[in-house]
Amino acid sequence: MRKLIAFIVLIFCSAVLIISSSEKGMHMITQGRYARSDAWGADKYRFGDLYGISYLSDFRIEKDTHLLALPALKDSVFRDYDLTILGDSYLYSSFQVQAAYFNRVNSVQLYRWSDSQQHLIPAKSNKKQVLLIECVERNMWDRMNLADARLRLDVHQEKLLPIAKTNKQILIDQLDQFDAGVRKAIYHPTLESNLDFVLFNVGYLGWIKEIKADFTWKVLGRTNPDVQVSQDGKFLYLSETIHPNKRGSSFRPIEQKEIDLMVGHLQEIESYYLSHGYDQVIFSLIPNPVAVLETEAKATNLAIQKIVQHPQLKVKIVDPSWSLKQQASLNFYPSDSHWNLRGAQIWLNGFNQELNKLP
Amino acid sequence: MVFNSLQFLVFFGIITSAYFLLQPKFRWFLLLAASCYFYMAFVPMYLGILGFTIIIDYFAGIYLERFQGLQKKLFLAVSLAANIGVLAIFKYYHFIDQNVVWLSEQMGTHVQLPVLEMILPIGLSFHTFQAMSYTIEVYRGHQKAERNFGIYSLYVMFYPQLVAGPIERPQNLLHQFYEVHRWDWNRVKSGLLQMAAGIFKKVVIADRLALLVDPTYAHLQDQSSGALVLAAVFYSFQIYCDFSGYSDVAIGAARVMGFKLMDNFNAPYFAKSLPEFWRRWHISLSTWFKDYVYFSLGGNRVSVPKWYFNIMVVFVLSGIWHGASWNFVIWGALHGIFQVIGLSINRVFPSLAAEAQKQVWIQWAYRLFTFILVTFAWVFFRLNHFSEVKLFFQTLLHGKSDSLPLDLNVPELALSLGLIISLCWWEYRRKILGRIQNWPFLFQFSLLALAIYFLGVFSLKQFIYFQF
Repeated sequence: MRKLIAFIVLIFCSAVLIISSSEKGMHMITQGRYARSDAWGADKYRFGDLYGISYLSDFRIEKDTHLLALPALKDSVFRDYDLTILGDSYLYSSFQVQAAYFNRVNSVQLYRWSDSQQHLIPAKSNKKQVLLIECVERNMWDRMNLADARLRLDVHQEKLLPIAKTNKQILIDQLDQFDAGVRKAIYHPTLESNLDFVLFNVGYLGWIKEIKADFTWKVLGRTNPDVQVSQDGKFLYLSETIHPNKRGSSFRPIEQKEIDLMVGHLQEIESYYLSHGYDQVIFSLIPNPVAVLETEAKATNLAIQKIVQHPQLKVKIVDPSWSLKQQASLNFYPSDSHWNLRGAQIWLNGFNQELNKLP
Repeated sequence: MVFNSLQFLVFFGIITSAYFLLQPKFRWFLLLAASCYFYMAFVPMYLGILGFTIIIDYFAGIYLERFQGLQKKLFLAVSLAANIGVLAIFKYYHFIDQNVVWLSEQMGTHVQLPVLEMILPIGLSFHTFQAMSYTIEVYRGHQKAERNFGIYSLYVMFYPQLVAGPIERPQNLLHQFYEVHRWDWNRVKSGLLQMAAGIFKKVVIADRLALLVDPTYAHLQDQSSGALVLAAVFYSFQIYCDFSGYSDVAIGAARVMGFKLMDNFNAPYFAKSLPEFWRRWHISLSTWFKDYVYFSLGGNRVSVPKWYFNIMVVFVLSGIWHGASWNFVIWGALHGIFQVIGLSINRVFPSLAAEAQKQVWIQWAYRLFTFILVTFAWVFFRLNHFSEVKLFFQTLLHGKSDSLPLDLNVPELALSLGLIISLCWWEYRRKILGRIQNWPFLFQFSLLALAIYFLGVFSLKQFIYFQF
């Protein structure tokens, strides 16, 4: 009996560790659980990504996971551009990679910011090439720079720019690489969160998580540190978009020189891509939900507006802030860090207007 | 790998079940491999440093047994030099360099040691001290040299106590690797309960207190005097629950597999004097210093000034052991000074002290006074820079008039105080609460698990003593 118990524990724990340490295993288990809406399905994103972090029962609101409806492709429309998109989850969680959404677009390629290994090489066709660089406010300070742009296009950059290293530095680098390799081989980089998903991310445990979350919030006034409840209690926000010390916060005091620098970066990036095969470059900066919904009793830093209205700005920017602020609460999920389909449609309208203006 | 992680939960399940399924003769190998895996979760390369000291000490042990006289002393010196050398390079090099630079600049010149880029291996002070205790005991003839290299490696690397102790002695631990530990349900249950109690102390109490302590210490200038006193008291309990929680998990995990590790804490905040506090706090380190440093210097069987000097040496070394920074030296020195003052008073008024101990209220006054002294010293332990210590005491004396800390959450504060009071009550009335041990195991364990889940602050916060 004792041996049987030990054997069962060994098999169970080993299976959990093997699955959680393997990309394939995690892919299988996440696909399987996300596809289910019963007690065995995962509730991490079903009710919004911020519910999946906080588990506050007031925000257990079923999320519409459909993508934006695809308009019928009209053959008569003149489609003279190939569109390449570098974007984040605001786009790929709302849109299909289809030209039919976009005015004047013949074909679309979408690259995610996280795919740093893929290169934004313009399509080889007889169409004109337009590049859309889309980024949410909370990440724009880190992502919008020429170094990143170079990395994403210049495949041979490392070979072109050899860095002289001392023997000591080479040895240290080799040791670091060896160390990182060993660690990666025996510990999956996201092992802890994978284990959490495998062991506990199933619908039938949701009620227990909600009791803890509600007790911690309603009695102790705390939530998961990554999430914050809006002052009116109707929305969840990522803490990093609210905390004034965080770089991507809408409440971080911003100096004019930072805005000047960002404008300079946008122009450098545009020039770079224009000189590497693109005919047009359009930027789109998506405001943090808290900056649109204006639920907090303090003024936001108006970062995107300051960039868009900068007198030196020469690049094309799609800023959906003003449009999203019209009936703002209808444009965002209360329990998600993204807009809903209505919000996505508003952005699309603005982007299509910008496409129409292209030569 | 930290104990308060899911990785450890799964790891522990695999290793413990495999341990009991394996033939006893293969178990040491499983534990050694598991310990390597456990340690490699931090920085795999540092396994090499452990390997270096293990090889030196293994052969030193054999030669210490084989030779006598000067040669024996030489092998002990080699072993100690290797261990202290590793500590000096990885833990104290930067500190020494800083002080060399400062000293040379005071003399109008600039001297700097060569730059070495390295980070401190986790738990270095713990396993080097455990390794040194082996060679010292072999040298003294209290322990036979271990011939099985794997078993000796396991003695240094046994995963439950590898990174934060208890610092074991070879007489207690080595022979246990040869014993056949059978599944004993009562032992397994008590081990699991001790592990759960340790996690409770860490996740529910220590990490909760950190929610108040960390922001308070991070913004000293914005605090009121009351807030600083509260934070200092909370830190006393935070560090206690953090460290004793780790020890509980280590001792419990070992016990599940049949190993008995030494106790590391015994209700230290109920001590009526500082010497008693040190008999109850981090017992494995205190006894290490007592056995290998204090007694070697002559202990108290010397003249009074030499005795006081010995006490100061031990406590300053204890401070340096904790960290390569002057604040730890001062922390250790303060404990030494307090003890010397206490001993001097006892020598002048011996009957007064003895009489006072007979009355209960005076005993409590002694406990409170000891706690205040310990808490005062913890301020130096918690703050790394003199400027911060100065700011702390300036604010304490001239802080804002409002008595509550910034961002104070009253229910959280009430819960924290409730937990501290419960902990003290539990430790004080431990014998009476022993009745709880008669409750069904599943009930006790489930109760603890639920309390951990619902009241725990899950931030994967490192144990404070990992840095040492």
